[in-house]
Order: sequence, then C-alpha cells, then structure tokens
Amino acid sequence: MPLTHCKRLLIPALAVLLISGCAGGSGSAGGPTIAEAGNPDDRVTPPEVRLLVYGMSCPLCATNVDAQLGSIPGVTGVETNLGDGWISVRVSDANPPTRRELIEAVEFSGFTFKGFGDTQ
Amino acid sequence: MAAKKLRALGALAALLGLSSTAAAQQSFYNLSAAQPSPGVLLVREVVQYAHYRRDPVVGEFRLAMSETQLAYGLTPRTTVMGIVPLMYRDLGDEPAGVDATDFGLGDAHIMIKHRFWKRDTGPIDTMRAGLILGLDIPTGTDPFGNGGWDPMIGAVFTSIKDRHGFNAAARYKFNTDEEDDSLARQSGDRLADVLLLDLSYLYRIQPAMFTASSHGAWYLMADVNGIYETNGDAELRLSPGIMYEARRWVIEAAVQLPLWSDLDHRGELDYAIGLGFRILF
Repeated sequence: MPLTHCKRLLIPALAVLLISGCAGGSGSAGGPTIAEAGNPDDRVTPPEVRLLVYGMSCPLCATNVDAQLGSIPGVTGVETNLGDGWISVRVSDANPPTRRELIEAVEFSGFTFKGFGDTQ
Repeated sequence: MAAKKLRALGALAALLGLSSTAAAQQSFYNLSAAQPSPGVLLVREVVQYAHYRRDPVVGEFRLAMSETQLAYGLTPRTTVMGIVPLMYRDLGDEPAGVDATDFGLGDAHIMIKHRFWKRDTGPIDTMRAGLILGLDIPTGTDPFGNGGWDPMIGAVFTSIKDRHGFNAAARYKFNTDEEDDSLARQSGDRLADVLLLDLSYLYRIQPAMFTASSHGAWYLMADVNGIYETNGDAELRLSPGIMYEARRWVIEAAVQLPLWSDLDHRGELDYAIGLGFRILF
C-alpha cells in the first residue's frame, strides 16, 4: 500500500481516537450539557432538575450529597450517577427549592458544584 | 518494671493498630482527607488479632483489639472523631509478677480533622488535604493505658483519580507521661514520642467504570506504615487488604506484616489480621 494511502487512513483514525478519548474524560458523556447560569434565587422547574457535581469519588461520598440535598424542603428524591457526576433531584410542584439552595447543599456536603443540566 | 513496660506495649499497640477513624476511600490502617458532611455520623467497628514476638520482657504475646470509632461532620471542612479501644492480651507463659491474660479498656482518643484545601477535578477525581489534632484520654485500665493526656498533631493528603486512590498521612504523638524513673529510663522502659508515617494505595477492581446503576465498589488496598519512636525504635509494616464500599456501609479486611524493624524496647509485630465494618447515619 502506498504511503499516502496509509496517511489517509491513519489521520482520520487518530482523530476519532482523540475525540472519543476527550469525550470520555468529562462529566458530560451521555448526560445533559451544562446550562447557562441563571438567577440563583429562581426556583427550579418541577418535576426534576439535574446538577453536575465533581469530587464524588466513591459510593459513600455520594451518600453525603444525597443526605444534604434530601434535607431541603421541596426535594422529594435524589439519584446520583457516580459515573458522570450528574445528580437528578426530583422536586415538588408546590414548593420547588431555589437554585441557590441546591448549590449550597452540594458545597455544604464537601463537593464542587459545576452547573445545572440544560433541562432547566 | 515489667508491668510498666506492658502498659507501654498496650498503649503503643492501640496507637499503631487501628486508630484512624475511617472516612470513604480510606485504607484499613491509614487516614484519609475525606470526611462525612455536616450532621452525618460514620460509625466504624474494627476487630484485630495480632501476634508479637521478641519482646524484651515477655518474649511473645497475642493482642486482640476491638475498636469503636465515631466520626461526625461538624462543618463542611471539619470532623470530630472519637475512638474507644477494648483490648485483650495473652502472654502465654506467665512471666514473674505479670498476669498471663489481661482484658480492659485502652486509652480513648479524640481527634479533629480540618480540611484546609481541596480541588475537585472531575466527577470522581479529587485532591484534598487536612490537618489533624488529637488527644489521648487516659481511660485505659492497667496495663493498657499509659495514664497521660497525650496530644497528637498531623496532616493528611488524599488524591483520587478514576480507579486509583492515594493517601499519605504524618502524625506525631507527644508523650506526656511524667513518670521519670531513672532505672526504667536506663532500661529503655520509658514511653517515647511517636512519629507515624503512612502511605496507602487503593485500586477499584470492580466496577471498572461507575454507571447510574453502580451502588457499590470493590477495592484492593495496600499500606506502608512507618513508625519511629524517640527512644530509637523504628519499624516498617506492609498492610494489604480488600474492601467493599456500598452507599451506606463498608466491609473491610486486612493483614499487617513486618517489612523491617529495629526495635530494642518492645516486641516486634509478627502478623495482624483485621476486620472492619462501617456504616453511615
């Protein structure tokens, strides 16, 4: 096979590897993307809001975040995905919490809030 | 004099054995800079059986310990911890003037851990560093306590990246026992200050990648535990183990083996086997 043909195959293959490698390294693989920062005092929209959190390194760590988020009035359920860092928070229609309350709960639990999902 | 030496052994065994109230991603014999969040209580119950040899007074002996460890999150950065050891020692052949077996409380230990730095670089990845202040409370019954209010200072660093976890801790315990017996001192019988240097590595063996349905993980862990006493005694130990961590509880098992030692004042660890259970409230 001529060298030029090899280059034609090699360059796209490297590009695919590079792109797939980068995509797997962040918390957005397969999940929502981070939305633009809104007013922290706005109440989130029921029935669910997603938060991207960094630093939850183990199952026990995730329980700390669950406990803090679950103690906020208006939060009815919390589900943590350790794989990508996204936390799904179900909120009541009658009394949804503010963005600030959710952010503070994450920081209070000792982890780093990175943003809300684009569904909000 | 023999009884005093045995008190030293009991107190040191308690300090070196298990006194590290466990947070997440923490190996069996080392500390971690991770900690429970405010209002969360972590309870750890640990049992350990150890065999010591070449003790200058009693030759060999066996020491069984059960420790109840509590860690409570005060603030996002600060945790208070308490440790109460219960000990049983069997000397085998009864030396003159010493009971062959003893059972009782060791010295309790309280500790404050304050995280002064953290950097969360990914969903799982984090680096954290904390300061430690501790105090031994002389609750120990004879011969397991040394009778002193011994302060301890230290620092701990944790780095977790994907499947790999690394902890490094340094602790220095000041001995405040005021008994200044020249005879005992000549024989090396006096308790010394202790420097503990611990390194640990944890590897998540299962799952290889966390997913939304991941509710637990298996880890292999290995510690290297360094002990230096100001009386000149020094020791290095290797502690491999395995741990399963669920969302609210952990089970763990480890063995501890001597790597190297230069001991003149106390027995040398032959081996230790430990089992532990942690639960989060």
